[in-house]
Amino acid sequence: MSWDLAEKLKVRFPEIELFPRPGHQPGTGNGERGTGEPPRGEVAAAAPPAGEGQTSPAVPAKRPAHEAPPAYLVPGAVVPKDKLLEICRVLATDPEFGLSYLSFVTAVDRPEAGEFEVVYHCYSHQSREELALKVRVPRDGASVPSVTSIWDGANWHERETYDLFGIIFEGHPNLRRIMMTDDWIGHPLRKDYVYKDPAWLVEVAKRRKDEIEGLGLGERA
Amino acid sequence: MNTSIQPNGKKSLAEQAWAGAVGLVVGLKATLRTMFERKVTVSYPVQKVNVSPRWHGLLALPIDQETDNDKCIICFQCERVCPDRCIHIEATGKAKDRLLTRFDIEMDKCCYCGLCVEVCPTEAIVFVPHYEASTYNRANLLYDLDDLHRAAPKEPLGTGVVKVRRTR
Amino acid sequence: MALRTEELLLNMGPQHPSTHGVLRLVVTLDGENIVDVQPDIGYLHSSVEKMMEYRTYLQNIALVDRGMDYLSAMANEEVWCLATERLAKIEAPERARYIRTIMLELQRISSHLIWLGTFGIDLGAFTAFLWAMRERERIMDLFESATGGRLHHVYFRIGGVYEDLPDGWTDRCATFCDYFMDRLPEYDELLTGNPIFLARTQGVGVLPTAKAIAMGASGPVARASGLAYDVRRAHPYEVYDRLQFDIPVRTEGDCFARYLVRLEEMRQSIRIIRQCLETIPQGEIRAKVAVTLRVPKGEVYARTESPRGDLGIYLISEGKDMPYRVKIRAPAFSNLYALTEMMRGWKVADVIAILGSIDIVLSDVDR
Ligand code: SF4
Ligand code: SF4
Repeated sequence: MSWDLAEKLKVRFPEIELFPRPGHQPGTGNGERGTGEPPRGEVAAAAPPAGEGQTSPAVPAKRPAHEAPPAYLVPGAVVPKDKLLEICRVLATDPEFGLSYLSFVTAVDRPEAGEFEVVYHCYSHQSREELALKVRVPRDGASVPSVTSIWDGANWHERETYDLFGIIFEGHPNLRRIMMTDDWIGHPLRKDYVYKDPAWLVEVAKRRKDEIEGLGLGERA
Repeated sequence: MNTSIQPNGKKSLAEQAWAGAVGLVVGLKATLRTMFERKVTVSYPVQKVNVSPRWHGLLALPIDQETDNDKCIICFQCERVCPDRCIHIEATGKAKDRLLTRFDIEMDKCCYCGLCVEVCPTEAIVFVPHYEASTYNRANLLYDLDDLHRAAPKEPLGTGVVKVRRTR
Repeated sequence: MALRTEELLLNMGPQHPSTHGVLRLVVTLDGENIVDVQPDIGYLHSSVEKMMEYRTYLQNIALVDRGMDYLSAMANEEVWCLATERLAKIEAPERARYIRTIMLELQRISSHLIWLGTFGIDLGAFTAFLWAMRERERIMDLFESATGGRLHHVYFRIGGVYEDLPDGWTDRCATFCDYFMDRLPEYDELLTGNPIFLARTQGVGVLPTAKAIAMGASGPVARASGLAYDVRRAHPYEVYDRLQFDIPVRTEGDCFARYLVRLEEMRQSIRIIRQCLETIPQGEIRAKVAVTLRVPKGEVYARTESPRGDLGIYLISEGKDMPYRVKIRAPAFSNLYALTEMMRGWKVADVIAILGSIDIVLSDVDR
């Protein structure tokens, strides 16, 4: 797991924006980084001693670690929406990248910023490199182009993201709900989603309760 | 890898029949061998299996022999850590004189995760090695203070679940 | 005059004994031949990802146990703890990492055994099911004595495991390894050489390598299609980088290859467990971690090899005591997507064999 691919992509497409990396100045390559991810994805082998600040309250540490700037332990880049398809095609087909395996597609709701981040995570079985892509789209009428033409496996993942976030994937062959029922109202994984029992269910629950009380079954035996 | 596999289908009928017969005999031999082995099943309601001392079974508040009361110091840690929010504690009084007025566990919601047992500082709440909690009425699964006291093992808890857990 | 034929739409499930849960397959048939299969999922959807946003990191261990793949609870706990540990820069002590590895491999065997048994039932071999359950019972007893739970253990903690192994556990585990290695050849006798079993699996439901990669298949399904990818080898976690084990790969891509891969994986798991039992060090089992752990801001993707494949968690923390967003990359979800490709052109009787061979757990698919 290294940032090589992300750097390469940045050279090819200067308009993308790499995820911020702690202790990294742009242009110095990605050789020595104090923090960041441990080598070969092992459990925090190269990480600083465990329990730094955030674990033991006994240490009257400097700033609590959870207030530090965000640490991106997955190499990736934020790409503009209109370049997404082009970039993905390059990533999947260019042997220089060879990211032929799409791990997942998902989204993150950021209501304060008023946008969704659509996340793609791809992987190469040859070089064992990974790369995450993020696309920022406004929350209202969110839509991104579908990548099913590039990675076939994106099909269900995009349907799931559509179902749970309500993001439209343009050009998707079969954009229907996949997890929820077809008549479901709302998109559950949005941060502002509030579940409400539908009227008929409230009715049924009330009737059942009455029945049980009438039979005296609600009492403790 | 154990592979003595030939592609099926390109064989004559006689060969297939022979292969089938061999497969049958080999399979039956294995089954027959098992038939004369010791039984591994128990006839459940009559016989019962012993569970391990770490068993995540029903919860209980054991009675401390010295004080004749449970050991709960009403710190609300278990209530807070419970992922299903199924422990409900209420108490009256201040500081030392605090008295437990309500300690309910909704056993129907409990997922037997054991986090409450883990965080309790005084080992006041423990698992008991008991697993038959089914009932015809859901209301029976609300365990209040008395039920939890009663559910505790009869012996002094020196040999109870928690101590076993800690020393082993 | 030509005979007029029509395509027939056949609904399998959601309640069908061989769908291994609640899965509906909409099969388009032309006579007896399968033209298309559309799996309809979501019956077990419980929005675990949403629930995880409202629970602390510790509480989530209890949730991933049952909310995700319920047949391999340890693997779920592992991936969750791994993601959190990486982001919070916590390191589990050496002994805990060995214990985890042992548990994960036991879990792999027990999950594969369930698969083996149900696959046998699907193809009419009932004995295999009973035997697989018998072996699995031993594993469950091992789990029970170490963790207190049989299916849902809540044993791993962020930065270690809950309790040390009980006295004599390692010996019992070693005994189990010997017992199981004695038993495995019986499955060969029963299934591997059985002409009916061969006829129903060999060459059936082929998934080519290129398709497997493109459709995101992983785990035994991909390895049976010639893709030598195992997270334990590619991105070792816990102590897998110190252990000797082989990754079984077959190139046929059919149901039988998937069967062989899983059978061999069980042997390799035993090999791993034996090595761990020999070299397991004494010492601490748990790093000091606060009950309400606040994980630093950041994003991480942790992936592990669950019995079903490439199981990953994409975790986003905002520095609170609860995660901001969790994405579970479920292996069975992607594997099930490849089902359509495997089934096209086969007969309707093969539906059950092919579906059984990919080892889906619907709570993993739907989450
Ligand atoms: S075992 Fe878990 S779910 Fe049950 S009461 Fe304790 S903390 Fe709550
Ligand atoms: S954690 Fe223990 S002492 Fe505290 S309230 Fe719960 S049972 Fe009582």
